[in-house]
Amino acid sequence: MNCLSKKDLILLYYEEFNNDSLAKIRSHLKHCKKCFKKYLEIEKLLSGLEKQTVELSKEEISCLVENIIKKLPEPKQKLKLIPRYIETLSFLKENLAWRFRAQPQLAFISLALIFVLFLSPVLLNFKKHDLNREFAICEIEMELSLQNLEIVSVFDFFEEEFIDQESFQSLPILHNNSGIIRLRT
Amino acid sequence: MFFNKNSEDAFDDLIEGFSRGDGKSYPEILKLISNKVINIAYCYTHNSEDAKDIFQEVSFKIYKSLKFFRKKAKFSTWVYRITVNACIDFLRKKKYTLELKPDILKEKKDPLEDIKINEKKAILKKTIDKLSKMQKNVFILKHYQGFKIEQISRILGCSQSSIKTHLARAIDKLKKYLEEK
Repeated sequence: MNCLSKKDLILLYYEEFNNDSLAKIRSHLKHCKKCFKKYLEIEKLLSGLEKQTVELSKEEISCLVENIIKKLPEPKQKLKLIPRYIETLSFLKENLAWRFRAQPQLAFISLALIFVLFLSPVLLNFKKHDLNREFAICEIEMELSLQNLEIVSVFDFFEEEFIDQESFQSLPILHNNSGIIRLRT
Repeated sequence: MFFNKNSEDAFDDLIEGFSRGDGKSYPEILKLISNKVINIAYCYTHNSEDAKDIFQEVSFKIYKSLKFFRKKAKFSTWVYRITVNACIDFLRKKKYTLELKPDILKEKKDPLEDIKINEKKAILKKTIDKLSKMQKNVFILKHYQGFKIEQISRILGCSQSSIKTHLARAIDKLKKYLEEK
């Protein structure tokens, strides 16, 4: 067996080897004075380093633990929700969840219906809330009131006064944001 | 010195009790680990009061994290890891300097003898404080706490060969510093 390294001698002191390795190392130390001398130096050094221990009595430990328990934060309490709403939600969850899982198209249709229901008031009132159109109407009314003019629409074309397209085309034009309007003075 | 199989089984039962909300489990856990944790902390701080403070800190950390403990490692290994980290943090915060602490000077039988012993202890403590963080951890856990190399490798999260290397280097340094003194 080769001479032992410092690491091996340290591990030998701390009894880290298994029985087989220990037997080989001990037989080497019997024959190798150099390794034996090194081992004695390490043993002297390490045994001279006093072990630092603190011994606490049972009462001291109990007292220490009690103080720690007193300082522990209290567990956070969950907010109490209104039981009726919880019951309703849990009822819906129990009774509808399995249905939607079994038939996902049902879930899709339900969501679509909810979406349409929410959007329908907005869609229905859309025309009423077209501000640009309302401004255009106000603008025309203002012009008409100033100039004492009357709007002629294409439907007037069918009245007796206008026999042909040429007569209609000859009427003066008022441009506004809504488009072109023909006027009759 | 360290926890045996019966203790580990006891820990498992107490942890289960804690997760079920049993109020008596946690104090029992603390009583079981107190001596070991305080002794490890004492090796770092050389002061029993500071060691008790570290024990308190470790207790709070265990309380917060116990419900997330996954049992991938032994409970004792987990506790020691928390303890070592808490000791390192404590020393970093306090920027610990070596002083002769009151509890070292206890019964004065022979004053001269006492002074010699205290001087020796002070030199030793100063020397250990000069070791690198890893060397100090390995040396304290191996020499003062008697852990096996395999246990230390699990606590510190390193390979066994690196633990052996750190231990050998720590002892080399100690020898060198003590010879200089």
